[in-house]
Amino acid sequence: MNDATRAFLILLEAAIHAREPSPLPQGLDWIALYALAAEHRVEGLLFTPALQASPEVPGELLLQWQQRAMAITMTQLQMTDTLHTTLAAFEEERLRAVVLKGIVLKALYPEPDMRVMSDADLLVEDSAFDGAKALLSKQGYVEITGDSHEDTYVCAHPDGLRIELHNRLFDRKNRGFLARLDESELFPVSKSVRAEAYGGECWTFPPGEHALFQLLHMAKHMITTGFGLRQVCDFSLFIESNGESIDWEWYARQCGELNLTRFQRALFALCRNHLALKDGAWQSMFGDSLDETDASPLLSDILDAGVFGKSTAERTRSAAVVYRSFDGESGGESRLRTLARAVFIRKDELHPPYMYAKRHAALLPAAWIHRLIRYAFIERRRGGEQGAGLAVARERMALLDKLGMLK
Amino acid sequence: MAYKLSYLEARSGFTTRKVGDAYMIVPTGPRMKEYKGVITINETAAFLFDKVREKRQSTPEMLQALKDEYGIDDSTAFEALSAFVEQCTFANLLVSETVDKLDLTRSYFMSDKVVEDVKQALENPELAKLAEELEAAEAASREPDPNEGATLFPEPPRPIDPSGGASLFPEPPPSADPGAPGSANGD
Repeated sequence: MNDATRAFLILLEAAIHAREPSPLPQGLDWIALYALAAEHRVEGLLFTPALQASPEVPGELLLQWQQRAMAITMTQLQMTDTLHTTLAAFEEERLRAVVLKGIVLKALYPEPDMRVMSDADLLVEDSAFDGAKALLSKQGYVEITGDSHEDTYVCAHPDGLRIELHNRLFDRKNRGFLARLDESELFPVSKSVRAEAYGGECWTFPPGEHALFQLLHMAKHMITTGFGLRQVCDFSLFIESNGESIDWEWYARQCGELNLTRFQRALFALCRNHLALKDGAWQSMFGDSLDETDASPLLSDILDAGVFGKSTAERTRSAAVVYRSFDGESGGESRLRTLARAVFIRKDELHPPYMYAKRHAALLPAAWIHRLIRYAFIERRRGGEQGAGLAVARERMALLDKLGMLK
Repeated sequence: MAYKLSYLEARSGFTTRKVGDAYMIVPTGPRMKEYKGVITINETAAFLFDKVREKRQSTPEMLQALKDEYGIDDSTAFEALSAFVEQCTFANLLVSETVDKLDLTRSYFMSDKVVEDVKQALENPELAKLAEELEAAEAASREPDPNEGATLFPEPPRPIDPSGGASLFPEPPPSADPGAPGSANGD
């Protein structure tokens, strides 16, 4: 870990607890630190502690940083306001929309506007899905057709707020731990409660379910591109604020059934060691044997990831490989079968440039051959990039294995 | 004597925020269509704007608040308040209502609440005295006009410039990027 990364973690911990940061290393590369913060979309959070920490921040960077922080403040404030207007419309129509993360987690931060929310996730009953879509349309939201799919309706407001409306939280076709998840048992809309959020009240899940949802959300991203430090900050602050209201025996049992206990332990170790997670009720089930052996590689992966693993092209490219491998390993498939599934994809999995076979099913074998040729010859030209992507994928698969997430 | 007592209130849909050492007014809701950005202001303006956002304030109340907060004299407070009102009026951030101190019965166009508030304000000897002093100071700084009483805000409201916004800072506002964080993924 270099000085910029160390300083980044110090500033982040100070930001989420509203305290003066510890002294930073001398001669810091502030540009590298800012770039890292921007990758994780926490540059707004870090602005105030950076000001407090050092008069050495280069003037030009400071000005740019301040302008960015002001822009974040403006957009976040406006998005929050738009979301509450939308939620009020849901209430008027007596439609219960459960808010996940977003404004609920923003409220935990000393500077809520600086915790970036790029969209709002709302969960509604399956029976209310069409009504909710119609309501959003009436409120001026326009569907983003390319992003919507079976269980998720994605739309955007002219003022900039993007909403993802779900009738279930995780893809029903998932394998591994996600296949063992009983959403109707764990996350029914009927379990939601009214709670304080940033800018007003909303429906959300009780603390135990909401913490579990955050863990699952991170785990879901772990099996593709990864997730960023902001998600870890969210979780850490959530446990600090709500830890005493969570039934930790229940929570630990869910983690056990989903094979996420080791992942959760690593996450707690990371939160405690790097984000100063306070002692609390969570230790009753996860306090023992929190060591760095799992937390360190997890932290490295998270630092490398940026928000949801989009920090580098290699990282993004590795996502499909990791997911297919995870899918195969957790489904108990042989490597050959996994490879075969990667090449001989189903019609509904086709994407450009193979869309001709989606329109004409008879051309599916042609698409498979096209795919093989493309990978064998054309993609070889980009061997270096592909190789880097595969190396990232291999490392990430090893980490998933270490964290017990492939079972 | 016929000076006017003004009431000021922020228009709805504006919020103030502090980022580092900078203050700004952020439009929300329908105001976002009027203002495509933020309005940068100084600390005093932020203090005054928060006052008029909380509730409607009379000008003597605001002058007193300024004096209490910053320990300044009457004329400095008056100058600061005048500048604030002028700029905010220019940017169309305020709603103001003016009442005649001595002839409340003629204020038939105002709500009963305003009339009642004015009566109460004028019963406060300190506020009444301050208002008289301000009126005298204002009158002394202007050409006498036999047809009109003095006002705390000599400038009439100017037309709105919705596209430009306004800055209470001498330097231009930072170019906040309204469309910024818009990643498709991940709340």
